[in-house]
Amino acid sequence: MSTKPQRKPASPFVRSLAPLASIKLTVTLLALSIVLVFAGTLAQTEMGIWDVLDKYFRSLYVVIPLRIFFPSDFDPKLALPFPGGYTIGMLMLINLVAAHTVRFKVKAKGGRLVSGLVLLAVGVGSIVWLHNGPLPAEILSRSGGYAGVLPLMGIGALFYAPLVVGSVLAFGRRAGIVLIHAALMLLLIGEGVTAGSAVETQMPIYEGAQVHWAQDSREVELSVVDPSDPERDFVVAIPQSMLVKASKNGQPIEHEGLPFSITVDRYYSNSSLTRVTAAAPSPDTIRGIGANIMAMPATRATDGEGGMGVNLPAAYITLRAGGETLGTYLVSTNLMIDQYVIAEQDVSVGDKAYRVALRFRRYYKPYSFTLEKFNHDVYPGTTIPKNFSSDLRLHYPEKNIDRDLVIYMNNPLRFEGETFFQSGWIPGVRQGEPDRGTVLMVVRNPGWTIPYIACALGTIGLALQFGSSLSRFLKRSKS
Amino acid sequence: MNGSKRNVIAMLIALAFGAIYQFGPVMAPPATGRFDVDSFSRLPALYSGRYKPIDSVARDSLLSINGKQSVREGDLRIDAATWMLELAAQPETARTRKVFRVDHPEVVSAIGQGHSEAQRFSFDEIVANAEELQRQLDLARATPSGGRRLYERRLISLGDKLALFQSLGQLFSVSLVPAAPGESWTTLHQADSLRTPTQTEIARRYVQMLSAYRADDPAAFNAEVSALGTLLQAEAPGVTKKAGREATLNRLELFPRASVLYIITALLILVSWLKWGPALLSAATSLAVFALVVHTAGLVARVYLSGRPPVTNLYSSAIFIGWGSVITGLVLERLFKNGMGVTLAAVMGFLSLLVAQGLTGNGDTMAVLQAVLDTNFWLATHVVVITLGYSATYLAGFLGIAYVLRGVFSKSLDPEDAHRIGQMIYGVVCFATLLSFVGTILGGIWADQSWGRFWGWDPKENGALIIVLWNALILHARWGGLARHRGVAVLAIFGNVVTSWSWFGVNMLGKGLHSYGFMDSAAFWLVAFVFVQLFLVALGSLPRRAWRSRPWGALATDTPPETPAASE
Repeated sequence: MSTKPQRKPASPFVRSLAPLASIKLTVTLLALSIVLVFAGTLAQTEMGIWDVLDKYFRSLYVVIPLRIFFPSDFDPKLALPFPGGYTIGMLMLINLVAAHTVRFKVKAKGGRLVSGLVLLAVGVGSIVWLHNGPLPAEILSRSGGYAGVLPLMGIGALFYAPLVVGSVLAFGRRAGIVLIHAALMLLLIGEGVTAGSAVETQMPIYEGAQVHWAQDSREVELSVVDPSDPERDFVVAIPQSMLVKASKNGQPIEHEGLPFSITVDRYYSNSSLTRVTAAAPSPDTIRGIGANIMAMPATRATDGEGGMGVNLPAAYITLRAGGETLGTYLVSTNLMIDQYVIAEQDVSVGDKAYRVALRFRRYYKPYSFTLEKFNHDVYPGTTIPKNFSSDLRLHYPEKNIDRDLVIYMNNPLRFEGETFFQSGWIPGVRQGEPDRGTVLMVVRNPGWTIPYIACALGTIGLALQFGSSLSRFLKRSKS
Repeated sequence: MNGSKRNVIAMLIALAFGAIYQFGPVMAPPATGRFDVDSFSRLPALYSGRYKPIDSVARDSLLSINGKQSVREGDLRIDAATWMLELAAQPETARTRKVFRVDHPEVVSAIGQGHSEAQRFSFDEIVANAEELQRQLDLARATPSGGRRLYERRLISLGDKLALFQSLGQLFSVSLVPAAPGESWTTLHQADSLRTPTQTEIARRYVQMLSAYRADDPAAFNAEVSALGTLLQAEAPGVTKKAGREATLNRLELFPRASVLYIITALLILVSWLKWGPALLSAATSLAVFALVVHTAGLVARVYLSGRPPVTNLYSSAIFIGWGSVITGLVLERLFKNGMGVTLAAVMGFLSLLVAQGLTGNGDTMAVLQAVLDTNFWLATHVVVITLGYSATYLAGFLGIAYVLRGVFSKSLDPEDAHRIGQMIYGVVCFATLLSFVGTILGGIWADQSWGRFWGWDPKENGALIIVLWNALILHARWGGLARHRGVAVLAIFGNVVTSWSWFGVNMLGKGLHSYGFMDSAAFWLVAFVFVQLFLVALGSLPRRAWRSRPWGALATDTPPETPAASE
């Protein structure tokens, strides 16, 4: 081992960090994360991606059934408790911070140190400013989507330069490692932010229709609509969590906007529907669609071929108003009139009519999109899709916006802190008939720029680190 | 002086051999067949969404039916274009050629050939009992696609091949007649879409050409083909020229020939360990460089013809992985000059092209891309970088294999050598980390651009992430002193398993946005490869007394491993 330079005795705080900073812990955590990611991949053969996310990656611990490691017909009926994504991620963060506190010392002194630290601060500031400002979205949308990534990188380099120069001044040969680890921390934090705050919804629009909401197909709500005002509907939406809770404790749900109280008799998180038969008729108290159709619980959805599995919950609800029972209704997102239209049922209270439905949770927007045309291009002479695009009209009266725009594959629209992607389409009723509409995916992710920063820092860091190793090696092998 | 002269001569002989092997068959005057099939095969067609020469249509179809790009009957060898011509002009003869490869015994029984030992059957043999075959197909198709057994999948695949055979014979889906700009080309059957006199003439000449072939009239056939060539050249010059070039590329067979050159290189090296070391090694190195040139030419030609970056599907990823490893191997050879780099270049060049060959059975290797992949920007950045990352990880793994094999089975691995190989592995792992990290993150950015999710925990993304994590683990284990050169070598071998999982394994799960669909036989080879790697890992972990070499002795200039963290 090389001789160690004299150094000040470490403070008790730093010494107590030593085990957390150990490189053995790093290797162990890397190994654990590999096993977790591998298991989380295999688990997707029997579980929907969102369930895997919640169980494996966005959790403190996970119980991994060993059968996922074997071919489908073998089940050892054993399970292995394992640290989850949050645990491993947090430990990695701690390990990184501790390692930098204990082992990575700032080597520079005097003016070099001061200018290094100043540049570092300027660099962090300029990067944060760049990514929080409107510039990236502006560059991306002005150059037409992904083609803007290169100009964005070029302009970004100017903003990153102070940080890179600063860290080289302050950390010397260690600058590369510091930047790589900073990038890793950002990635871990970014994934945490996404887990905590990203909302992913979809906006199905039929050709000619105007839509001012997006729906989250992973959550449902019970909507009660009062259509008596010709100008606008009055909607009360009861969230999924309240429905589940009410189904467990049997307490009726009441609200001043509701004309009746709602008791949730049964709630299925995923369901299948069958026709009611003469042999097993439904009880007399059931009104509406439930008189003819019966819901049964189904296992949680897994991912279908190439798509995300969607659970279709169902509930039996009993409505009461003024001590009188209005009836029991079957509501379900499975009761579809069309692919994106859920059947509503009429309920009369006195002489007033309401519409009730279990629908996917809606997020209303202050603006609307009208689909003028949906285009589905194929390669010549085949049915292989080449491109999907939606000709839309964006209407936002408060902001004086009323204009046409096109969203297509790999070219999303970034607007009002959200991003609108071409995601799917509504096919014709029968095969061979023209498509009837588009499906946009709407994503709000406050942390969306973090990976871009991490990518830049990590790449610069790795290039610095391995570039300097390589040049030293080449010099040595020449001499 | 004498020695270096000998090396130069060996080099020249190797290069001359390479050139003759590669270009000899093409330079030879075309077989003086009476029918000018060669010109026929260069005519352009629109097939499966892409303009290509008839030669490619014939080769891809025959490959998927027969498993080979030509038909062999006794001593008779029929090339793909002739086979397709016969299928269109003289179907009753073509139906008796044994071109259908059927190798599942239960499928062979299902077509009523249970007592036959053959593996290839003719169309007439297979449909001899058409009703029963249809019944079996209906039964198999009634099973939901997830729950089909191997027999059912193979039978359905045979059904698809029969359909392909028939539609090809009728030229149903092969559009041969150019259209006005903006309109799709038409087949010979769409007579009502023939608008201009030129279109009508092209269609008429195709029909006359087929009857001339049927009537065994070479003069008339050749006249029609030549007239068609002129007409198409005038009507669709760009497409016709490109189709001709693609046919030439097909004929050059660059990748299969490069793979043979790589294996010859490896054999030369093998012999060089026994005799004539330096001369053979320099011959091998120059042959490897020549093979790399052929390999590169093939890659460039594909980029030109498809108008796409080099990697668009599994086939091209195999070719690109091989290309990357051969280059890196030759660079290592230049740096270390110990024969290791060129050995690995040859072995990996050969293996990757072999894998590519195994992946061509899916048909057109330049097929058009699904909508979301239709972006050259991301194909050129994310896909290329991540594939180079695979390539570097494999190279590190194969260096690890060389270390273990030499150490366990020979006495040649002294501490000096072990240290150098350790350095090579370390350097390559560094690059692998850089490339796989950058490639993975670029993929995340593409995902963010395309569907608003930087990281979706999709199987392919996870596979790439595991490669990054594994390489990082190797680096940290080395920096922390947990692994020295032997440990790093063994860890790098396991990197082969990790990379293969990401490259192929996740596709077999059939999940997520990256899955391309997969054949059964590839799964077998993947499992076999993984077992070999695990065996090598076990071999490398044998106790020291089982090793014939003693690589762990102290070096004269022993230095601790380079640790960015520890060296203050």
